[in-house]
Amino acid sequence: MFAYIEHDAPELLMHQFSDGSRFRCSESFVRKYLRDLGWSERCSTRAAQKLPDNVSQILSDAFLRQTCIIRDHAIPAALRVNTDQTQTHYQMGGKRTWNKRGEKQVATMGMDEKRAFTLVPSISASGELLPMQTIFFGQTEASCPNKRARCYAEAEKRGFKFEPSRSTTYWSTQATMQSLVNDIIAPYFDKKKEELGLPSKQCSLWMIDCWSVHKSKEFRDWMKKTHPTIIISYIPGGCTGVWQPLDVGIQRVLKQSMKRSAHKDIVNETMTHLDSGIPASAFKLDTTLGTLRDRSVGWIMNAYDDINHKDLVLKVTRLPDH
Amino acid sequence: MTSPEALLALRELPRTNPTLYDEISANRSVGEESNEVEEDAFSPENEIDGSDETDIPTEVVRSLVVSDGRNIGDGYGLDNDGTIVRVGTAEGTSLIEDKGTVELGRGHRAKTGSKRYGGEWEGH
Repeated sequence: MFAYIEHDAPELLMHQFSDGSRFRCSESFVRKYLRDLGWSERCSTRAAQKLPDNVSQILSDAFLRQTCIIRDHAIPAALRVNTDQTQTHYQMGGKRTWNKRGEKQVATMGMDEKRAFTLVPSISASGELLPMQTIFFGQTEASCPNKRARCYAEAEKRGFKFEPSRSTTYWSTQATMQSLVNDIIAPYFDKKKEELGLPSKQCSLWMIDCWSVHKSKEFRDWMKKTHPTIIISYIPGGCTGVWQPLDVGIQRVLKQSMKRSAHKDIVNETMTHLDSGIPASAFKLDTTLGTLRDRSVGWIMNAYDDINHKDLVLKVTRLPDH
Repeated sequence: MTSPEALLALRELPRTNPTLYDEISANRSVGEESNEVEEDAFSPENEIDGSDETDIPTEVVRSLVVSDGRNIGDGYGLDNDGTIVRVGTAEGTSLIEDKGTVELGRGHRAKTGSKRYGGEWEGH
């Protein structure tokens, strides 16, 4: 809609109202506009996580556990990292559907296993954002973005990893968790130890949540054998929304950046078509998996730059008030 | 976590909570803790799909998070559920009928900037 307005009536975007505001075709405007045309919106959302009744006690205990590890192993902030995995749909907003008022059948878009990927960001308590790992649904490298995709070379240069799940979902697996540690987490710790003049046997602290793969004996045994200096500290179960640094604030900025990048690509595609002179009625957005997957590299790089602000990372690594 | 208060709480733990002290002492070298709860692969907070609207610049969201909700910037407000929204009159639907005063250029056509997405769209 934004692209059509910018192409056909750009003056709407230029006019400044008496209160200083300019029309930006906001989502709230679009929703109201569609409702006025007789459409109704349905949105399927998951309920926010319910905190345990004794959350204060749980967090207090977790705090003391971590403090003890940090004290006993003299772990500096740069060697304390939190990693989480984030689900990203190629077509954001797919949970919102619009139907003519009264229609029973509700179509959903882009919500199947192939239409999403997993983004795995990590941050340190010293305010650093590590390169991200990305997991794509599929069995081979062909399921990952094309090496010629926009920003791909820059992503590789900055240490980002694109991996196929080699499973029936786009989720992390034992294998991708191990490559995350081998390719991103451990090299980061090694580099920091060198920078700080610390010995290689210096311990580090890695905070992850209580997801089944993280907690599995297989993964814990592998960590102890392969990376004995990395101490795992699990986020208390049921408390990720208030205790996990990556959940407290960064996700909101990350989400916004990804959504805006995806939207920007759609507007650019639409504008290119409208500029070509072909009738708008003949235009259909390219929503093929390959196109969206390749575009996702640019979204990820934009998101990295948008959250890679020390004040933001340090803000969320501060303890919550409980 | 390495504040004097935190270290004092840790030193006093054998007296204030001997059970937790014993548990921590037994696991201090591995960092693991007993926890029966198992999380989903993605918590609701980690599903990139909702929250703030696409027209809200990322820096506005970042500023709000960094300032603990105190700094939202001119022209923006918070909805009942904490979502950032534009508060100016420009988003009113009457805009369709009222295009306002438009600066006219050559041939009395509306003067326009670049048609490319960018110039009039707030920075990413």
